[in-house]
Amino acid sequence: MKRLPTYLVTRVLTIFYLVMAFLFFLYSFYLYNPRDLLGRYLWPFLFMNTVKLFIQYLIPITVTSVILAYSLFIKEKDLYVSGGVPLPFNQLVVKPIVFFIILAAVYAVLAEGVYPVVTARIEEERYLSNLARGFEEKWKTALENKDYEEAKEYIDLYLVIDPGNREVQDKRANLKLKLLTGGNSGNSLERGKTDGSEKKKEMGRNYLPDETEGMTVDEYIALAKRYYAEEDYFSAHYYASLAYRIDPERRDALRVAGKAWEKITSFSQSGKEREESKFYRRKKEGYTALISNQPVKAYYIFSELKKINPDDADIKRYFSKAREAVKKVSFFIDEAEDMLALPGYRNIAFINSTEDGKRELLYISKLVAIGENYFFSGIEDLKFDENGVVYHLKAPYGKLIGNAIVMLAIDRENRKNVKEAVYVKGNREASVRNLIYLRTRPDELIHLDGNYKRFESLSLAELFRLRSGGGKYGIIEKYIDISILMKILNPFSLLVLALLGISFGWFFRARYLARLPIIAYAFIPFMPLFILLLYSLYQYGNEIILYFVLSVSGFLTALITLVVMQAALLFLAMILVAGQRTSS
Amino acid sequence: MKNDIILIPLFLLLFIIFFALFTTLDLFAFWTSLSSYGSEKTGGQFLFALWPKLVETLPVSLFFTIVFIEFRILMKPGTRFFSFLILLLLSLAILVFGVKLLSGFEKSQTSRVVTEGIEMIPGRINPMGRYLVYPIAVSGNLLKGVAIAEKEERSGNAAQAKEAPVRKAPSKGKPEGAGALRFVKEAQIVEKGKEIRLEGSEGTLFSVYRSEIPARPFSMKDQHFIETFLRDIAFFNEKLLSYAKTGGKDFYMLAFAILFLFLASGFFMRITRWPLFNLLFSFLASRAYFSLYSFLAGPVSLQIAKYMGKSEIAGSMPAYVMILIGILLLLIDILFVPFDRWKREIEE
Repeated sequence: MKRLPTYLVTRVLTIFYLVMAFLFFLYSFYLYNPRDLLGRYLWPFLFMNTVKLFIQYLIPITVTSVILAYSLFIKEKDLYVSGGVPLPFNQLVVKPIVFFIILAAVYAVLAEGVYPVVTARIEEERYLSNLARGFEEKWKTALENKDYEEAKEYIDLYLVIDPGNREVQDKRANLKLKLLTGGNSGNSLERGKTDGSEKKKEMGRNYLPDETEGMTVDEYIALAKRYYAEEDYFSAHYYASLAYRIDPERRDALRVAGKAWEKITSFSQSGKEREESKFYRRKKEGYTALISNQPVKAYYIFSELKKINPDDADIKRYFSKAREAVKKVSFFIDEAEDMLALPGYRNIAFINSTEDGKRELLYISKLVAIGENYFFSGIEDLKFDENGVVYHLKAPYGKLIGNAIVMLAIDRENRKNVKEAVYVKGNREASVRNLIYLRTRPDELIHLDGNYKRFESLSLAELFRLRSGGGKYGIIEKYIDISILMKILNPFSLLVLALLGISFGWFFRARYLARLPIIAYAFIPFMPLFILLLYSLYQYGNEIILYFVLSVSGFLTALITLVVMQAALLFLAMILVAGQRTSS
Repeated sequence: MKNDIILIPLFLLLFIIFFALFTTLDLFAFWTSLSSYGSEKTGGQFLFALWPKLVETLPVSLFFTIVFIEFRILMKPGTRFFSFLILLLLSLAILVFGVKLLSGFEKSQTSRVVTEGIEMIPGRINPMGRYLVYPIAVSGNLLKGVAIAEKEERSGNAAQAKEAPVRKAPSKGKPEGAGALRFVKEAQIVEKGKEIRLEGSEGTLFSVYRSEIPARPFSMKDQHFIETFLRDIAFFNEKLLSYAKTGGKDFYMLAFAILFLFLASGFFMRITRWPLFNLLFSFLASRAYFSLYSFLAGPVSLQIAKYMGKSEIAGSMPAYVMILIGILLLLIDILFVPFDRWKREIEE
């Protein structure tokens, strides 16, 4: 049966794709570095990086194989039908043209749907591997210090990332055994009891939900009355106050709160033991701080009381509540330091707000994001206008709570050790001194590091999203625009260059009478490199024109120029294909 | 003979096409990399920038034309001697007179010629090496309400880690409490050679090299293939123009040598019965000649000048080497490769 040119072209393409995929696979293997990626990511990396490289170089690969197919593998005799008359060349390329149109569409889907996903996935795995290495270092240091509790915590965190690691699993089992048999040192065991479990929870775990959350006002009042009856006046006052805050019309709630407060304040007059009285006064002081919106003060009081009487039901409850309240307005220094020792994103700088002609430039030296937790270090916030600085603050640490960066970091034990915003110039109200309200989505922060090269790896959807808010963050929009234009250009380039490849390949086809000489085969491996150079020049030419139009007339004109230019090039490519003759 | 004569209009036509295309692209690329501050970026400047750009693109347009015209000679061969002579004289005339004429124009326009500058967009964060500059307003080279962020050296990603360290000028007047962020009411961009400085009222705020501020943060131009290619061409142009300005025999020697080598390489178009191979090989050879010249006129000339102490020999040595290679190629062509091979073996 006679081989049809279409069949030949697709066969050459398939062989070329397979060979290049294999070469990319080998290259990915060469690129794999166990220090960068955990062993469990080896195969996913090899697969994803192969896919990534394949999509990245799909255009030059396709053009090379098309040129080779028409230049080297299709012979004039292949174009003769059974009647002995050669078919016109343009009729022979109809199917390949349709094929390349479909291929251009497939490429667009791959470039926009698959490429950003695999790129992001590789980055994520690299990040997780870095994180795991960070945990590994921590547990090794903890083991050296014989702090087994902490070592176990970091091993647990490591195993979240690399659960199948038998070696680490065995290490964890040994540690667990050591801890059960009391192998931990006294100090570290004590530490483990106090802050170890808290820290672990804070690093991405959920807290236990408050059992009273979501109750109705009636239920709160009923609960307050029950506590009052049980002579637990703190709880009675707490829930009655809560009910009253929710519904200030409820006089009964106010009544219960008042009665409970009377009991609380009358306690010291009841002639209890001196020590007990002091303890009770401190408890009252802590409670007062808690309900009067001074959670940090309350936290330290209850933390101190907890050490004196850890079994006191009130202390347990209000320490927990104070800790929860503290976490809404601050965070712990050790928690931030532990997190910020992990790998993260650096040098984030963007305009956070522009109001009344005043700009707020926010700079973050380092950002570490784990799950929903965002920690920051080296924060600087500068609000200014043309006349000068409104305020300029610096803070060593920050944590994202809600939509604000909270910059108040406290010590778990030492109330004097506080890290907070320092105002180099100007000042703000006390209530917002340690707060920066973010105008951007937290997940967008990583794109705002002034590193415009990052845009290359973003998908069209991400670029358009960034474009819509880019200006307000201070991003130069035309850098996003040119990325968008170049991404739109790619499928057109595939189609135009593949069609030009047909004419070019056929026009410059080999005229050997017998078998191809060795030199021809020896040249084939170098062909993709030549084509890559020419392809790069072609893209560079397009880029220059588009960037020029973009700079002069804006995005829409540049987009129209792109479409018109590609239509003209496509037309030219079609004309060239149509102009080819079947025989010499 | 007819085939030889027809080469003249064909050569000119091809040359004009390449010249127009490359000059337009070069001009566009130049325009987008121009300083946007103030009134400098005007249509007039665009036109005045045309002369230096024409000088820059003339040689490379000529070389592309020679490669393509060789394909025409392959298909329709005239006589080996005449076609070679015609092309050599024609291309030499274009190169010598073109460069002389255009650089003369350039000289007369020096006071108005635009130099590449940096782009500074008001109300946006402008990258300048390790610094990010946010001016509220830009007027001329004067920035108003300027916030400056200085990035930390250590970087969280590979792209940034590769950033070249920025030379920092001694700062006289760092604002109080300066850290990563600084604010000055006014600052001025001062461009001095390869250095760009941001000057505040109390001294230099920082300085960076021009190369650290690309026209745009990413470009196909950054790709290794293109970057080295453009660098080699720029090096050749620079040498050719400097010789043209001094007006010595080095200019004529270099112009003759490079054209002779390119034309002697014409036989690459006939070495196999696979024209695609021949064409790509010719391009590869052309590319290699620029690298060869960069190598000879760069490190080799320096070594020669160092050991022999004769800078004039070192200066003309690359031209002699290219002529020598050209003569060798020409001999191979005459002895082993039939001039009308295509016509005899393929078409008949």
